[in-house]
Amino acid sequence: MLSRLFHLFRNNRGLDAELADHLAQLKQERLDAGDTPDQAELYARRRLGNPARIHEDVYESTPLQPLETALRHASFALRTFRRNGSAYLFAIAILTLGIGMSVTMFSLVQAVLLKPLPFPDQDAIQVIWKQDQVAGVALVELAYPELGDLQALKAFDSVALMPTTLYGYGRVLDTGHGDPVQLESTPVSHDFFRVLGIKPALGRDFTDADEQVNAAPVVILSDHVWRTYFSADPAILGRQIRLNGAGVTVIGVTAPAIDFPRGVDIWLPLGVNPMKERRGATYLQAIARSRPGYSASAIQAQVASLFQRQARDYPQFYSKSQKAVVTPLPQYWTGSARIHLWISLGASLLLLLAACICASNLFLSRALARRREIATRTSLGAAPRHILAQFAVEGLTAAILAAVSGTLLAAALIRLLVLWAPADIPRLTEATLDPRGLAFALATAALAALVCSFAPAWLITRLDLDALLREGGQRTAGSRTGKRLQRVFVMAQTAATVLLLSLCVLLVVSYRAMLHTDVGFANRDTVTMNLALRGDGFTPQSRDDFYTRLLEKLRTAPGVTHAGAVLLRPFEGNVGWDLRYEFDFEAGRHRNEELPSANYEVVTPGYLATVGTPLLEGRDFRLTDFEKAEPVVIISNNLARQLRKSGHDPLGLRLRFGRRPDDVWWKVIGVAAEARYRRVTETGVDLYVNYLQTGIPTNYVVVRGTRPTHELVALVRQATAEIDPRQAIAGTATLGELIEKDTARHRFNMILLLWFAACAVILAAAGVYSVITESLAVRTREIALKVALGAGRRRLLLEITGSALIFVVVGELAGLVAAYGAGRAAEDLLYTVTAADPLVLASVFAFLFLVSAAAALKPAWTAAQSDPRSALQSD
Amino acid sequence: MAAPPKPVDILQGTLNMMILQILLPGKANGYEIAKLIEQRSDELLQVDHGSLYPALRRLESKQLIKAEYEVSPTNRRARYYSLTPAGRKQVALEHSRWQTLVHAITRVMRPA
Repeated sequence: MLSRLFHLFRNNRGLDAELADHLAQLKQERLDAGDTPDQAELYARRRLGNPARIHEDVYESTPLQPLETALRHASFALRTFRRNGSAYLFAIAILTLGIGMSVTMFSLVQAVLLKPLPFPDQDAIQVIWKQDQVAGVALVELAYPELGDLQALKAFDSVALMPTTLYGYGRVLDTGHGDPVQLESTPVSHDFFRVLGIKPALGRDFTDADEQVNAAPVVILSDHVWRTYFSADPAILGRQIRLNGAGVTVIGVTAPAIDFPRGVDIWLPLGVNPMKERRGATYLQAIARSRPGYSASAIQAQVASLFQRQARDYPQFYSKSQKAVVTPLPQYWTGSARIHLWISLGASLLLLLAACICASNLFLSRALARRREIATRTSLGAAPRHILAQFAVEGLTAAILAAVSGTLLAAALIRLLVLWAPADIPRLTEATLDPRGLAFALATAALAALVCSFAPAWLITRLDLDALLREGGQRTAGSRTGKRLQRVFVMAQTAATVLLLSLCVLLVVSYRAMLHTDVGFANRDTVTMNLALRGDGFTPQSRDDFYTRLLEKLRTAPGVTHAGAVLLRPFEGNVGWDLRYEFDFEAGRHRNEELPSANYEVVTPGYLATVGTPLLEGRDFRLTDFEKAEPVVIISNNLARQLRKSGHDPLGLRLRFGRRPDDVWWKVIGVAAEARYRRVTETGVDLYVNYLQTGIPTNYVVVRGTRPTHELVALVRQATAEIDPRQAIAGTATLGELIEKDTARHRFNMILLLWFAACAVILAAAGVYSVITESLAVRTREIALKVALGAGRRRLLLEITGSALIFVVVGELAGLVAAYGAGRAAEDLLYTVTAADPLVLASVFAFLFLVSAAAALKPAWTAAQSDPRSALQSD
Repeated sequence: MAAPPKPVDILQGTLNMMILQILLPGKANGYEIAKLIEQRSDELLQVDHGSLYPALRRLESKQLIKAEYEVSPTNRRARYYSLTPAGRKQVALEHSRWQTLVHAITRVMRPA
């Protein structure tokens, strides 16, 4: 097609006609002199020379128009593509894969990590809490009075407080029609939206006056609540809505994109809570907008010194071991998704690199095969730059084709991943192929083009033309350089593959371990849901009564085998109720901040049996463990083991939460198996107390039975309505789903890496295969001779494959070193396996070696089996 | 009788100059240019007819000559070349350069 167009150029320039005329005149000249027409024709043709050659010369000698040059190279590239069709198609397919995968990952990273949040000057917003490494607590929360402390710091323009968790602040909205619904609310101090740099889209922001104790209750709605429950009524402002049975005035509605903290439905003023006076009431974190000109370290230093001053001024509340944790909002927002996505992007780039190397290798093979052609063209006067340009255009053409198909692939993959990704990666669903993604695709294509034309070009600069033409191009100059380059390629590619494969295997091993971890909840079909009792007039006594009646109803319902309730269900968040405790035999020996802390759960009798946490010793709670009876506690087995190790029988021991003399002592009556409440990969001590013996409520119902989930949920809803129609359930999920959700990010990452690694292994095998095939092609005669002279086939195989496999091994070793480094960097993601796991590294090594060996042996075997006669006669 | 002198190949780089000179009186097509060079050198210079065209294209792209289509003696449409004003100037330049060169080489080559 291009050559046709190209031909047009020639005709336009009239050279053919001109030459025909020249020929005719030469012929006429001889005819006039008396020659026969045949003689004249012969003479004329001889005199003028080969017209094709003249065409070539004219092209070579005339400065070309840029367009024409490009067309010419492209047409040549296409012709070469056609001639070496399968190899180029393969190269383009490989590049498509590499570009498609990396553009996909880039688009995800772009949507989740790079796209700015809807808050102006987002990097100035910091999230602040404390940590205490001495006590082993990663999150020490703040109390309301610390707002003033932080506001006094010069580094901050504005500061606001909010709870560290989303759960626990739900409100039941009476929609006026149908069932009441539970909304996630976040109480915030009044500068909250000013710190974020936004204003409600409708209505007004919170003011100081809204935050006074006894102020008229107000609420700001999120856009989706406004649309879902109030049909986007613009007259909502100033209207009273019923939350937890009380009238609350709507003062504002936010813009659609505002979702902070993630999953929030409504915002309420924080300071109306009388707890605001108490420095001991720690359940908050701060967000602050820093003034321009303060660096991250300056901010960190100011906050750190504030917390040290606090420890000095109020030693009863704070300890010196509490350190400031200041996290920029964008990082806080993405959390652990950040490292997962960066790893996947890195992996996809590695794959892209492997694809480029593999494609480059193919181009180099073609160049090697065309050494003679190049040498001939060069000796006929083609300037080296023309030949270089031709290779560059070939690489570029392949890269452009691959970029187009890779972008299409990426568009499809993004849609797929968005559908299938774990829901807890923020903003992942917003991923699309945007201009930045396209720019990235272009960049990858440029990289591919560069790599693909670099290798052949480098080869040409090394060509010894004379030697090549003299020796006839079988085993000749340039081939050694080219082979060496190809083997370096194999090495690099193998290294990249080992790196990818090792990371992938580490993640797979970790995921397998997560799946097989005994999280302590054997009954994964148990249905859990939030049923925090909302509204005025509840006392600890009436809450307990509600739950006692509810559970009785449920247990007697047909198809229900177990029912119970708990303060905070498993895997609800990184933060739970952690309380410090000490035993009677060590009482008073430790300072408060030295006491160990444990996950504190308030449960009903029957809860442990419902979720499937076995009771190993002692007894479960009973309804007869009344408030007035002796307080009892069940401890987890890991704590029991510690106690036994120090020579104590856990049953009968007494412990207290905290170390104040007036804290009550709780007697250990049972030992339960270990259960993981925070994360699948996190162990800790659990302490269970009976709901009847504490003022802290149970908030989650757990129920199990022979009926399907939705029927059990309906049953709970019905039983709840019968006791108190104002209450609503929310967040229904089985234990299995909760466990699944906790490992979903890991699985997402692992599956992506699995894909990348599988592709990389195939590319690596293809790389080795092509190198061996290529080396065999130029050694047919030599091998045939050896076979004819009686060389052993096994020795021959070893000789053919050995040299390439050595490079594979070297590449593998380099890859293992890189994998170890990368594994160390990503240690947080690994579970029950370390980056240096010898079994993982050895199996990756062995696997890739076997794959490479198989890829090398296949063509070598064929060559060794071939009949030497045919090869020797072919020349 | 002295043997007729053997034809020689055209000195590299001189073909362009000769084409320009040939075109000084008027237009000619490729065949005529080749023939004129051969005739004016008393058949001493052998023009490689094939190499004429790259040279013509080169001169054309440098805008020293221009081409028009006319009907040739063989009744075909052929390109007829003529000098551009720049070409005319170039001929004068080449003339003096050639004279200097010949002069210099002659002095160098004179028998010791």
